Amino acid sequence: MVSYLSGYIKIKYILSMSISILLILQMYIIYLNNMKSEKNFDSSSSLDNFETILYNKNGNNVIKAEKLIYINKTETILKGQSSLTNEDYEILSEDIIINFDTGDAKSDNDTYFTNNEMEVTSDGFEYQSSNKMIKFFENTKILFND
Amino acid sequence: MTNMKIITIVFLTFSITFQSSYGKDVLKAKKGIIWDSENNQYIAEGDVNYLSNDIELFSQYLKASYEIIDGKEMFNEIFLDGDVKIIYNEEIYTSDNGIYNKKDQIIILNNNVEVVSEGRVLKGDELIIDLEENTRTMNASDKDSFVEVFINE
Repeated sequence: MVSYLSGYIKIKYILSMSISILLILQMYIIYLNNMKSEKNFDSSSSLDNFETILYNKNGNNVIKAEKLIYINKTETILKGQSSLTNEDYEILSEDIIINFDTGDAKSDNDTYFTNNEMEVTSDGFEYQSSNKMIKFFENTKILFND
Repeated sequence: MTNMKIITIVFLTFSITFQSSYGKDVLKAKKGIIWDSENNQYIAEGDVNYLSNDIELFSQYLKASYEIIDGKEMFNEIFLDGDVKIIYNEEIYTSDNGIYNKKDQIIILNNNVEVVSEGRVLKGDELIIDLEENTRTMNASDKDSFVEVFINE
């Protein structure tokens, strides 16, 4: 009777352990699948050595990037060294987030801006297309041309 | 390709630093600078420094408005606020706030104004500096607020 009972407990223990291991394994598989789907999203929505011309009310903007990653309707990342150029200015920076609809753009990385009037270096920028305003973030230096 | 771009940015940054010692106007700010091209103005914040020819301005806040003449941006008025310091002609001017009218070459400093020159300190409420005529006019609200301190004499 005692040996029958201990055998029953052993089987119950092994079963519990197996179920736990299977559950952990399943969670791991779900995690791996999620990782994979995220990667798939990136590669299907990105372009390497991207270059295009954006037409809007501010004129023709030439946009260059090492990689373009589409996030959603309002945000596209220009990954790596990127530039925005139009008749009025040129901005060089890294990982620029741009809204292709409005023309707004921003980056939290080292920025170099130039036009006929000046040359600017800063730790980042934000361009608001609607009011033609550029905010240069932190440690900003403007050198005005003669 | 990436390396070339980095080299270009480093070279251009170096060029700015190098050229700045050759008389071009320079505006610097720790917190940042806004260029508002619609309202023709620059707004700089945080340890602001503006260097133009032989005059150097310091403040915590600067708003410079400009007009476009022959396609060039020309500053006409610069408003300064917070820890204002101006270095000009071996003299140091400090105040709480002030306005530099670049067009008329006149600087007006207000509140806790101090003029530090070799051997003396002059204190008052308002100082008008005429850069063209090379004159300084210190005004005080009453007799007590006008103080002249001589150093090492």
